[in-house]
Amino acid sequence: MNKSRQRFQAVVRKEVILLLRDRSTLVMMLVIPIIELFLLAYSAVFTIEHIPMAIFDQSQDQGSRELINAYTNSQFFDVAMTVSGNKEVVAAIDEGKVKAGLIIPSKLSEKIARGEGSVSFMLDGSDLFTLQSSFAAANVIAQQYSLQLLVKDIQNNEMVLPADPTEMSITTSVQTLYNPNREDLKFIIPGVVAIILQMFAIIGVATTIVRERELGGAEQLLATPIRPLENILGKIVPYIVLCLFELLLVHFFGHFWFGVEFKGSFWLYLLLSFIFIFSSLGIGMLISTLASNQNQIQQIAALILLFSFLLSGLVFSRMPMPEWAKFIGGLLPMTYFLPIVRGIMIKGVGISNIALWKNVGVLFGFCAILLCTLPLLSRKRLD
Amino acid sequence: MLERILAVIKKERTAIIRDKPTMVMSLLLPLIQIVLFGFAISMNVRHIPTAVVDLSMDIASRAYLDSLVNSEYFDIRETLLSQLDAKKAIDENRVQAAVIIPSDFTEKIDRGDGNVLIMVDGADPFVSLSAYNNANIVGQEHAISVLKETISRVPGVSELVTEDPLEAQTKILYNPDLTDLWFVIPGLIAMILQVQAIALVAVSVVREREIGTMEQVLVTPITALELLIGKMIPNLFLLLANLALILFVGVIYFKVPFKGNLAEFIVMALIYILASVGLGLLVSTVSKNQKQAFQYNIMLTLISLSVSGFAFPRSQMPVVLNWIGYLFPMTYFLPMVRGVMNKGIGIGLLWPMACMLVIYVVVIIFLTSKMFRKQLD
Repeated sequence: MNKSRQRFQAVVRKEVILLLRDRSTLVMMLVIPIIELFLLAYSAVFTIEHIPMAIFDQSQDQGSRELINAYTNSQFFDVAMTVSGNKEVVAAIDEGKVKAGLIIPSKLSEKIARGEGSVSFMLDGSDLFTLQSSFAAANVIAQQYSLQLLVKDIQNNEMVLPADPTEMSITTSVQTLYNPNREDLKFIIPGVVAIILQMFAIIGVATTIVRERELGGAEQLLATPIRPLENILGKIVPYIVLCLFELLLVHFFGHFWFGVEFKGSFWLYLLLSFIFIFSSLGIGMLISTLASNQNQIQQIAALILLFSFLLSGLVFSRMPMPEWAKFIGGLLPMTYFLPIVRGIMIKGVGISNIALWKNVGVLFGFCAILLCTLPLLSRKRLD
Repeated sequence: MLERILAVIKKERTAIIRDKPTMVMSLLLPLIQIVLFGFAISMNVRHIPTAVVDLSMDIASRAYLDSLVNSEYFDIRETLLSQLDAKKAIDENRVQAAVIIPSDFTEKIDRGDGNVLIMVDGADPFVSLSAYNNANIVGQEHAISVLKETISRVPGVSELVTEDPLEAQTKILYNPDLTDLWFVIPGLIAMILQVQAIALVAVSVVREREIGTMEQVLVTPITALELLIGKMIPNLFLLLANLALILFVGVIYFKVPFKGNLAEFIVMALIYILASVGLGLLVSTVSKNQKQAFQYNIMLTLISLSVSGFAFPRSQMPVVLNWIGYLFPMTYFLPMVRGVMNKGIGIGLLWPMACMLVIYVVVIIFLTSKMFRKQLD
């Protein structure tokens, strides 16, 4: 046992030296998560307001002014320019100067009085994000304004309304649980942590193992009394330490710079992320047995990165995906880690939550399978 | 000079063809992405699993729920008895939204204070965005229709209210059905070309430095500029093949309309590819080995995806990020590819962007050959 520990420590020492020697990789790995955190924190907006709008107002009367006010008061739209022609509205959208356009016909007030007011509203369909927030809003704003007009009309005819017509009889209050202001950062920080840790663990370990094989170090190791398990565990340990350091780094900035609170137990989270790192390292080792050189690892890594971005639930919801896509996503450890980190950090769920343990169970499965198969795989390789 | 460039091109072509895995991968990655976006990913989340706590069970509550379900944004999965149960269902990820209708809903509406609570899972960005927006809007639309009905029941009003006094027609230009793919394919073209350009060039330049053949080439009378141009051209063709593949699958198979002029577009794309290859050359002159070049590529991709307008609108970004965006060819090309494909506009409107890209190409090649020469000294 003592000998085993010595051999294990020797491997760890060797890996640490290798890691420290590769300065650029080390710096890159520590800098990328921070850059990504800052970039996303400042660039990602999921709710869009103040959409620039062009207006072609042929009426210039009270009716048109009120309608324009209804649009701008909603905060969804800002009047960015006033134009004088239908074509100019479309041209402004074509050129990307505005994202929406409102065309008001002449004599709107009179037309409204006759009950035949009609305006047309245009939205830029090439910008999906802007559109998702604005399309429904544009419709409702117009409907509400129309209703107000109707009510005014009725009151002008001196009829008595049953309830106060300016107030809706049904109000819908929407409450976003856990993240009441839907702060984008609360989505971003767990995501950054999950993807960085996974990619770093996978690429790091796979590259180390393959490089050793490429340089012929693996054969030299054969001549030593070291066992495959000791060798592999020794390779893993420095990466676990680095991964944990990265994790703390991102959360440090998240907490102290961006002031995002961590709701659940940080210790529980740390423990579970340990399991996550372990299962990602396992995937890395599995890849190293499949790839024959570093170039191939980079290509496999690019593929994994792609799947992680698209299918793990990091950005796009897994809910509407077809089964095969869910299956591919299910092969990635971060698919299970994301709900865990979001659960603990945003929802504040603890150990009593069943959904949490389901995901943890799968991660344990990853660790177990890989721990069982990898010593076998690496031994086979050496024969 | 032409002879020397041709020689480099020939050599480069052999190297590319010989490296099968890289070539296969560079054609496979874009294909996988299109398929994933085409079949697997939807950005407009509908059919959100929803729990219902209906404490009224009357006509008004049913009408409200109907309007939610009819919007197609909410699917009722569970009927629960209390708000606590609903919150638990969200905690346990069984549903992602919950509607709570208070008791005596009809009476409350008559008194004008019917209040429905919709809880939304805030942990998933797209779901919560879609649920939040649509819950608000469906609720408002329903309220408006209820109010209209109430008003029209007042004696004497029904003759008056035959039509809405004002009608607004909302029209979505370019992408009326809000098809994700129409939006995604142009973005993918821009992204894939830039990523692949950097990767391919890095492989061809940095590998040579790694194996040590770069020094051998330098002994020959070839100049840095000639060498760089020679290395650019074969990769240019590979990237054009990439572009053709994406366009083919996107337009023919997924039926994404291509509204603009193809010939004009290819010219613009060529300038863009040149600019991206230039960026790739710059990356490979500053990186020591392939691994490092790969890391730079990941970093540049991450940065450019967030600041170029690929996903998040640039108009909403802080000034600094907006400026960083100008460092990437993608920022100039995205409006071009979206403009041509979605809007059907041409060089007449897009020339400022095209000019910027041409300037970009000149500057980056100048910079790279400067750096390259410096490295050799």
